Amino acid sequence: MTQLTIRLPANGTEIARLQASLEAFAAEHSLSQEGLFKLNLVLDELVTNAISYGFNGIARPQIHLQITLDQGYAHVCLRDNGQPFNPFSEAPEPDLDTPLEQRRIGGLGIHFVRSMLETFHYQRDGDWNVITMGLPLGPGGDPTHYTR
Amino acid sequence: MGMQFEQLDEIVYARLSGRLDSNNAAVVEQALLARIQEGHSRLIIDLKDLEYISSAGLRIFLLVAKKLRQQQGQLSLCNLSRPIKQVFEISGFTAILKVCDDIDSARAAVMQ
Repeated sequence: MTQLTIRLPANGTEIARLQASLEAFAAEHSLSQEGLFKLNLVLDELVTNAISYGFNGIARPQIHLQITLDQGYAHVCLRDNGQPFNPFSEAPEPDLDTPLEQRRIGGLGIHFVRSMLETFHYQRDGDWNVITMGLPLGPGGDPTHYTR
Repeated sequence: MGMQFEQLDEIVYARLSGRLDSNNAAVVEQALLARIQEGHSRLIIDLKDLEYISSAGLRIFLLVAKKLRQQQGQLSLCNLSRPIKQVFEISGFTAILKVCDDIDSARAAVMQ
């Protein structure tokens, strides 16, 4: 079964466990280095974001992740019981065309995620943020695919 | 995450390897900024053995470039793997940082 399910208590040390699980999953299904890189990046940014900002006042922070591989795509469902937050509409856009001196430091994570994904959708389901995504794992990819 | 420094003539070389992400970004940032504070103004960051970078790692390069610019210094980065280069392009970093194919062109870039 080309599916991976991970349940993490939401704290920073669990990122390492997430990486290890992804690497084992990638090896098992002969994912390319580049496919693993993209999967790592998208999940690292979203999970790090959720852990850093989303769980103030939440008694039992949890993150659930499900990945299904199908015809060159990873279909990912990421759920967390943090504060309601839609990263695709609420995260500020980075100022990509600004010269070095004025370029703001930060704000790139969600921009990476959006650029890598072909499809993404957010919904609030009771106490949970639910993000569903379609990530093409093939080589190449078009950095201009996502237009602001 | 591995980090190795070498100084040759007036250039400091920083070689990063493994994964650069939110787990170790602070350590790498401090080490690079320490070199700049010591007064070194020509820095080459070699990414030949870097396997992975997230936005937490990428922001360090912007920070270092800004600090160096303030003291009329020069930064170049070289030997980016294809996915890492793609991340630089998505960020617009290839337009504002000196990104070179190899160590020779990186050297030429910081000696300008």
